[in-house]
Amino acid sequence: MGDTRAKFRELTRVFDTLYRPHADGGGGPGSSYVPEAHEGFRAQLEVLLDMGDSAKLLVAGQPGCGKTTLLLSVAQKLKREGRLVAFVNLEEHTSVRDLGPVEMHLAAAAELLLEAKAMGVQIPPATLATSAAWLRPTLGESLETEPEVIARALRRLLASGRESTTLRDELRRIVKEGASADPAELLTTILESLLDLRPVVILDGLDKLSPETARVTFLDDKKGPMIGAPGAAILTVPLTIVYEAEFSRLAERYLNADAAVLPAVRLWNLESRKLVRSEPGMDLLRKIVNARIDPIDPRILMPDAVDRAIEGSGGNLREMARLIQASLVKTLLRKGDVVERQDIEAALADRRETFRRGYDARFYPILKKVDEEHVLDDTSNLSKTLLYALWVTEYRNGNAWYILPEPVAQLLQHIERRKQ
Amino acid sequence: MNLDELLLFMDLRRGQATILAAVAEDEGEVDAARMALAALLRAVPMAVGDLGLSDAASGPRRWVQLTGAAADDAYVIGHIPVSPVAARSWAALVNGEREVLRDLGGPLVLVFSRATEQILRRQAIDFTTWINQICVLPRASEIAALVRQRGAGAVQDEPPTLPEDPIRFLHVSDLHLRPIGVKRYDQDKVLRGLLDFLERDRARFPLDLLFVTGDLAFKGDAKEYALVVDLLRTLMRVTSVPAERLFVVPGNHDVDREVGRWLLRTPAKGEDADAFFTDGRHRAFHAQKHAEYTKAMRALLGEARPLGLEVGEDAVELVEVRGAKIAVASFNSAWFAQGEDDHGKLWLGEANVDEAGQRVADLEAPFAVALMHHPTHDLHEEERNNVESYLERSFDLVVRGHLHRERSRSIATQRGGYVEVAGPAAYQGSQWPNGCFLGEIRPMARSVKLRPYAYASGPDPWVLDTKVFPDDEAEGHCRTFVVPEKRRLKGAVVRQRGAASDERVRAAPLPELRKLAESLGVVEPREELPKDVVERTTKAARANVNTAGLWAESTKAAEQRRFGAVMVGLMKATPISLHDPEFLRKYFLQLSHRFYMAKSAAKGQFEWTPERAKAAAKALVDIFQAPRIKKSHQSWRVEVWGVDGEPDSHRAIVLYGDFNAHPELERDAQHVGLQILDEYLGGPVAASGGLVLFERPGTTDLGPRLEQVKTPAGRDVLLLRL
Repeated sequence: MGDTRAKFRELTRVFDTLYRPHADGGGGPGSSYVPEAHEGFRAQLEVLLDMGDSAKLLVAGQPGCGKTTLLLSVAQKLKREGRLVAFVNLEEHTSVRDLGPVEMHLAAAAELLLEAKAMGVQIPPATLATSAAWLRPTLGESLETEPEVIARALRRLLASGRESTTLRDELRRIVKEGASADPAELLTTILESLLDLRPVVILDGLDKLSPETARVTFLDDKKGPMIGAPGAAILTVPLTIVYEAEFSRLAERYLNADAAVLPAVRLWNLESRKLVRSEPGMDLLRKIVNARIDPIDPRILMPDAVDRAIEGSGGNLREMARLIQASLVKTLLRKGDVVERQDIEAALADRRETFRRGYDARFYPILKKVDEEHVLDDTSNLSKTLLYALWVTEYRNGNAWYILPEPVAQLLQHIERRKQ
Repeated sequence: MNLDELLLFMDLRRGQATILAAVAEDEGEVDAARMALAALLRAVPMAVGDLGLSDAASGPRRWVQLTGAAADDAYVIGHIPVSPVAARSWAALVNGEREVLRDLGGPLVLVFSRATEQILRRQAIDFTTWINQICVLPRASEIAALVRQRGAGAVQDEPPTLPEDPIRFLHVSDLHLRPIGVKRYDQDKVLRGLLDFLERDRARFPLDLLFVTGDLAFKGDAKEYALVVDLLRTLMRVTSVPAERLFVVPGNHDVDREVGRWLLRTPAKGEDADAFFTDGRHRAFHAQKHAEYTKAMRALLGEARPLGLEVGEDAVELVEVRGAKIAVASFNSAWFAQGEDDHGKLWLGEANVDEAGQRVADLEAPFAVALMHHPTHDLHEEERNNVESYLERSFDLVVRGHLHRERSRSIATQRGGYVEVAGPAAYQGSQWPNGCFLGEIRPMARSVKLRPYAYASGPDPWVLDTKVFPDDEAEGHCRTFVVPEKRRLKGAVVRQRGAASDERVRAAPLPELRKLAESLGVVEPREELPKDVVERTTKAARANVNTAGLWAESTKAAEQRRFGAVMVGLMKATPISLHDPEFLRKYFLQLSHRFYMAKSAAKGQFEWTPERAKAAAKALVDIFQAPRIKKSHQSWRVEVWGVDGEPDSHRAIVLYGDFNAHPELERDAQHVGLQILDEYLGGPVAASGGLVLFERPGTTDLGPRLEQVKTPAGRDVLLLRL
């Protein structure tokens, strides 16, 4: 029994919504990363980066669909090719609630300097001198022209701004009033001196911007993040701005913006408005589940239980993890040692209750339309809410179409029965 | 997910980062549910860190710090937003910081109400998708029952859970001490006997708190108080209770009637009573009646003690007894006591009791005691019901005297309720029964056990009085009263709702007003509406605002309108030292930032009124680690910040333009303001200065602007336009 409990403990860890496969895998995406998950999309990103050394790519997607994991795997591949990759975790260094281009560019500059140093690249002294000079008015002290010293100073500056709005405003004021040059220019200087290494800046965490800040940063501001910078860049963007009417404008400013919405795993084929189960989709998700289970005990989840969890999740990875995690507790409580289909059913029933509590009567027409026609044709806040809260799952393969996760579909049927 | 699943899940995830939500039915349940849940988790068993309530400025980043600093298996935290709008701003915070959750020091259960859940679902969608599982909690009392059930049987290796150690108190009242010559022959014998009894009983019943509810003296003169001081000093010595745990309030015999003769007998209407209790200057005259009481008690117990002479939040003190927090409010029911015909002429002050109750909630004391001399029955009929409502909502134990008859009872109402201990006289002459109570408070079990004692005769004259609880022979003629559960709302919430309710009632059309007045018992159906019906209905509505659902819906809108001022108060200030040469600029930056936040949060409903400006300035007090001096100068509010004895260079002066009374001055406000600043800066008052001008709503929409300008005398000062 103790052994079973230890296994379940480990299982709840790998199926936690906070679990990151790449946290187990050093700098890469982690051993339980399944490359096929976003295969087509990944290939597309890699081709674009290969073709254009100054490509700027945007990535969006529902929460939990695997953006960070994908980018980490892309970064790993690019590094292997010998390119200079600065993977900037904005959440770690800045306040993502109130994040402006000033902070983004400074964070990128710090990451580039450290990465170049780690690769053993000589950064031209002129570049380092420019960077040190940039910091002088803000820090009030002269720095050694060592990449590491400068990068740490930049991080310190960002860290202080992360905690205090006053300091953030102060930093922006300094830049605005021209006491220090725009950090975008600093970043350009650094990138230009490293162009031989075909640098790629990956800004992860931009998708956490609030809808208002996202609008200002990407749509209202003509000089969006990384637009003028040399070299290639990948930016995660919030799903909310993808559904703004002016999003097409962004597509002109950045390359491939429109194709950048990361799909959920496609679990169904839509054939003449009839849903047919997609075996490749199921296979892919089984692989993802098994990659996490196998190191613990390959037989601890019954195959039909796994299939049920996949179907119930509608193809969203985080939702699937949540279902499996809840069913683990149910199995233990009934003193079982293998997760069976009934446990997943019980977890699905709980999920339905959760949806029922969150239900708002205004959702009804939208949910009904999605259920019948697989479209979400308005871009109202209500639709966005449904999509973002995982009440609606979206597939994008050229043409986007939508489906309800099973507990929501059941809830809808229940409501319809009551209406009649 | 049900409660058992939650426990198992926490057990599986112990020590590892994960987040769960537990939803309580309503906001009043959140706090109790969180504590009960922590207790239930401890019975698993596991080490549980109870992180209390998360404030509006704390999100995942703070939780990570808290869980990182401790080393428990699991953590529990609650959140109760002060208003729906504050809930939305909190939702934005947790949503923005969700990525940090990965660094949690262990599994965290976040407890909030159903209303908050709805807001999170809409305003913090990402955060919600990050929550692993959601558990709908049963009522806190049911969880507590589970704790009792499991706490005893489930754990074997650990020591059995001890029954709650009660907090023991003595209640004496109505001593009526008189000096030799006029005293009756047996006064010393009775009271000496009581002290002897307490001293002997000390080992068996060690006292924690002493409550003395009035009529210490006979006619309120200095000679009598010399005896009182002597008696109380002996009482503290024989019981070993320190002075800060002795609570005293005055009674009608602690009034010097000679002084009272020339004072207002009793306020004729509620309006006057309100003025009396809200402004200290009005109480100064009647306070003279208690001059001897005040002098003697302050000398004995401490200058800063309320002793029934303070009102509102100042009347409340917090004591901690073996880790249990108890709030004690000392009320003076004898402000208008003068003769034998006090009944119906006394006032306790609605605002007084209301504010004291808010203070209890703000102090987060789970158990609150109110001391007063008279029963509420003697209060003026206009405030009696409302005062009782406030007591029921906030206090668990009301200790009083005056009637010399023992009439203890437990009152349970829709607002909560309390146990009323009505003490007999400790000394009133042998023809009356002389008695006192020993009591035990169990804050967790929410009970009060009373042990009545009376003076008989013989060598050990103080004995257990079996006549008081004749039916409780099995319990040794003691009785345990259950204290009703109640939901205490923090001051910020109550003030908000109260103000919203006021607005609502004042704006109600006549038929609706009539309906309200009838439902609140202010008028009888078909009775003609009295002149002051609006006032009385407003007060009754305020006293019932948390329980009456009739107009709750429409007060919500008003509540939101009032949000702006609260918002300003909510934001956390970054402290600025006066030694910082840039402090004035930083202060103005924070001021304008708050202004901007409040304005954008209110989405067009926000108007920057001088009242709000004042609230903002008040909220900023915590920015400076220094006191400030307030003055006014024509239509200007002048604030000087600084520490006495520090050089002038560390002092600053800020001038706020407030043109409500004199709109004509607004035109050349800047010029006049700068001239005034020159006057101050020229003298020894301060070295740096700033001017804040509030622009009328609608004049411009430029937002806050900060400039450096020169005064007529050529000094550089800062000018902030809001």
